Amino acid sequence: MPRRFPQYDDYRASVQQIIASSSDSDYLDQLIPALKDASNNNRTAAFMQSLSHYADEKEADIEQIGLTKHDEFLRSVDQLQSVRQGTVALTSDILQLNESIQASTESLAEQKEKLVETKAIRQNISDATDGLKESLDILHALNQAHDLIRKRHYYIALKALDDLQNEHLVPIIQNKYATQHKLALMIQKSIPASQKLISDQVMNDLNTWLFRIRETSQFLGEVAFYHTNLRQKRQKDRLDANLSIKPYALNSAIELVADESEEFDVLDNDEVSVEFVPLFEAIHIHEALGQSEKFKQEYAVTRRQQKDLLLPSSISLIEDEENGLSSLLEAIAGFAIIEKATMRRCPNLRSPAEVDELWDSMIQTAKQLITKAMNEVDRADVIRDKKEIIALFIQTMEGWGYSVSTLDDFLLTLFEKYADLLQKAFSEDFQEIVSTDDYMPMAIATQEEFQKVRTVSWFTPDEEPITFPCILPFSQMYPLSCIDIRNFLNQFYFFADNHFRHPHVIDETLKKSLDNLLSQQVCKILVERLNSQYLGQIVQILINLEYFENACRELELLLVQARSSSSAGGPIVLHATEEFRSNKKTAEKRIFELVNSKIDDLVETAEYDWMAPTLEAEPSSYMSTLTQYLSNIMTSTLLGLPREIKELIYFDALSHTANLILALPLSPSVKKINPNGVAALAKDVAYLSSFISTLDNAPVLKQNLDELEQTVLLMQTENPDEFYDIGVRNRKFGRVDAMTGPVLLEKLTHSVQSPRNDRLANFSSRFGMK
Amino acid sequence: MAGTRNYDFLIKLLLIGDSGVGKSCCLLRFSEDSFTPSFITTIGIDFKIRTIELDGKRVKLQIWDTAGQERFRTITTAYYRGAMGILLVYDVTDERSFNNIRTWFSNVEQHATEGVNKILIGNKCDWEDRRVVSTERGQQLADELGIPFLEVSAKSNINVEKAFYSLAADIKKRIIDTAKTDSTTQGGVDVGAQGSGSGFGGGKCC
Repeated sequence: MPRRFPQYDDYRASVQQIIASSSDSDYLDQLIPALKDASNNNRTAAFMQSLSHYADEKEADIEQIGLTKHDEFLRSVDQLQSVRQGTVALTSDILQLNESIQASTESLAEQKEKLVETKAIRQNISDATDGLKESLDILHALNQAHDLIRKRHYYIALKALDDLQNEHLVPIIQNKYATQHKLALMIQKSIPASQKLISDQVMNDLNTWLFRIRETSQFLGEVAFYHTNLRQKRQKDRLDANLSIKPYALNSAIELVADESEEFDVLDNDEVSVEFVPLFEAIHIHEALGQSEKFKQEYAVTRRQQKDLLLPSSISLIEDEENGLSSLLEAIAGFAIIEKATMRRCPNLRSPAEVDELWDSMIQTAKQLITKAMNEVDRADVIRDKKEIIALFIQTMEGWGYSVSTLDDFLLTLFEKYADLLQKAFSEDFQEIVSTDDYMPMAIATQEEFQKVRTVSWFTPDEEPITFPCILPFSQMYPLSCIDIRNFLNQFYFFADNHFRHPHVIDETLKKSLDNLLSQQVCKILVERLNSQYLGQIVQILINLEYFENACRELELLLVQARSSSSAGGPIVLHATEEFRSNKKTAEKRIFELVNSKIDDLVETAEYDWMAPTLEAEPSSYMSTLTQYLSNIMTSTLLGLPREIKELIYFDALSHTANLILALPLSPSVKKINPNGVAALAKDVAYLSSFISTLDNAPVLKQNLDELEQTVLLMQTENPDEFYDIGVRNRKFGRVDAMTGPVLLEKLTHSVQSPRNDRLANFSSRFGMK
Repeated sequence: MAGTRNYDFLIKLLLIGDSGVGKSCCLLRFSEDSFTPSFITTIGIDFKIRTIELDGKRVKLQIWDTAGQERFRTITTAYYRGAMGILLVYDVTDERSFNNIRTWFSNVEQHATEGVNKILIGNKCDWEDRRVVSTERGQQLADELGIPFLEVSAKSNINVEKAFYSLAADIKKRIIDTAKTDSTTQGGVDVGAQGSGSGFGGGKCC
């Protein structure tokens, strides 16, 4: 059924129609439009009136009908009742519908609101994207800068940061309303950090470099030493080839020119190569950062620390290992060379004062370390080895322009120690030589041996021995000591080899030490040995003293020749020379003493029978023993002595003998002397006199017997009164002591007891030595 | 003279043997009771005096020390004749010095007074590590030569005194005591109280 909205002018008809509807659905179809119309046109009242009217009509009808048709009426009322109910339901439905329509309109408004909102968000996103794009540019530039840092292109990185600032950041920052203002500010704030990063990275690289330098330092020093050593050798070769350049030392202009052909860069060679690039970069970057001063300070601090690190707390001069002197000096050399090289390459980085300060500090420490370590050194050669190392160091560093005067002075300390040790060592040597000597004239087996002794020992014999084996006057201690003395001299002069600026000290010390050795060791020990009971040993000591004295005189000349030109001229005098000379006298005296004591022993065995009943036919046993002994020691024990000393010994011995013999009859225990007694004495004196006649220089030696002979003569004289006659006495008994003469004369008796039958009287002379 | 004499008898002894056997050391030990370890060769001739007491008599020993070296042989041989007793010294650590004793002995026979007292001395007996001549061999040789034998050490002072004393005693017995007996039987002369010079009462032995 087509839906139409009929205009209801009068609901009468429509009510008629509605009510007339054949079915319920029909009825509703009829009713709804009407209702709607009524409702819409606010004619509900009219409609209701129509309906009421209709109801009234119908009521009337019904009443009629009721009246007529009661039943039917009742039924109709019921029907009506239900219609009424339906109407109410419908009304509520309509209200419900109205409400639901209103609800759907609200959600629509809501959706619309959301749409607007979304549109705004979209706008924001697009704005943000633009901003991001801009930021990315900045960040990209920043990243690039950082990338450059990573790739160690520090300077470019620094420039990139600058560009970033100038191109991107500054314009943004200047525009307060720029979207990226904040970011730019932030990045701008981070720039110093980035620069710091670069500076840190550079410092890091520099530290790595410094560490490597530190590691290389010692090796660098070693190479430098080796190079200096080569220079020394070349210099020596040149000196050998051309003696005129002798005065020029290493590092002298002449040497430097002469050595020019040998180019060698300590910092860049086959062995070692020191790159300064990281340092340059660091300087460059810090300059670019405007932090040159800070960098210089930091660098200075680092180097100072490195300097402290390379100096150990102690070193050993005995073991040349890690803590040896070489390592220390090589490390210092390497360090100092790098300092100088740095100064040359980057004049503004290191000031000469700083470099020198570090150098001085290292040298002071090295000096202390060496001085401390020196206490445990007890061998001179160790000190000399160390001196060589220090000399090498000095020469190397002098070439680099460092002041070495402190070290030159220190070499003096070292030299003192060296001299001390040398003297100690040689003292021991001498003691050994002197104590193990056999004090026998040295036997030489061959011509070679002879020549050897001659070359070492300032020994110039009057004539060359023709046959071998032969015997030399001195004992072997002499040539052995001479070898030692020569060694001693050489060892001293060795110290001056290569480099030593105080040669006059060597001259002075050497003289003193040598003098001390000779007089305190050699001479003193020899003199101590003079206490020996062995005549032969004392004789040998005397002869040795004589040779040592000669050697001393030669040494004095040698020292003059060897002394350095700077020392003052004039002759050199060794006290030892005089010591040897004067102690020869001591030895001589000791020989006299010993020989005299032997004579004492022998004369003590004289057994004169002053009242002998018979005339003694033979000279006394003691006398023959005495003369034989004297003669024998002259040709054996005393043989090696110089002739004049031998004569002196004889002179002294004979004088002593004469005095002893003279004392025999003078002894208070001898009361009387008979002619037989005098005859025995006279026989012995004659025997002695004839023995002297066989000796060289007899007339002089015989003078010793004058008193004894004249005394015996006096005892034999027929006329003792002659002694009291001054004239005769002076002529015949001039040497007889004025006191002893009368004493002896007093003892004389002319009575001779009749010979007893005493077979034993002459026992000792018969059994004594003849 | 007798009044000044500080001894009753004088006995002259002689030390012989190879160079280095220690003759001088034995003598030094006996005369001064000291020892020197360093080797000092005797050159030519030397002597020492020591007075000892034997049977209550002061006996002065004049002991001659000779150089063992061949080159001094002429000098040293001259001293054989005056010696009353001779010590033939060898070194127990030196076979050669022991073997040379026979030569030394024949020298004595040749040059010394007949009937001179002798004793065989083996020195350095303290040095057992180095010993090469046994005591038995020494004794055997002494027996063969018919002379007394002693091993001594000058260094350790073993038997040195004994050697000199026993030799001196033998000599005293041989010469003085015999002479005394002689003189006693012949005239009762008391040598000790004689006071007239003679050091030894002794018989004529040469």
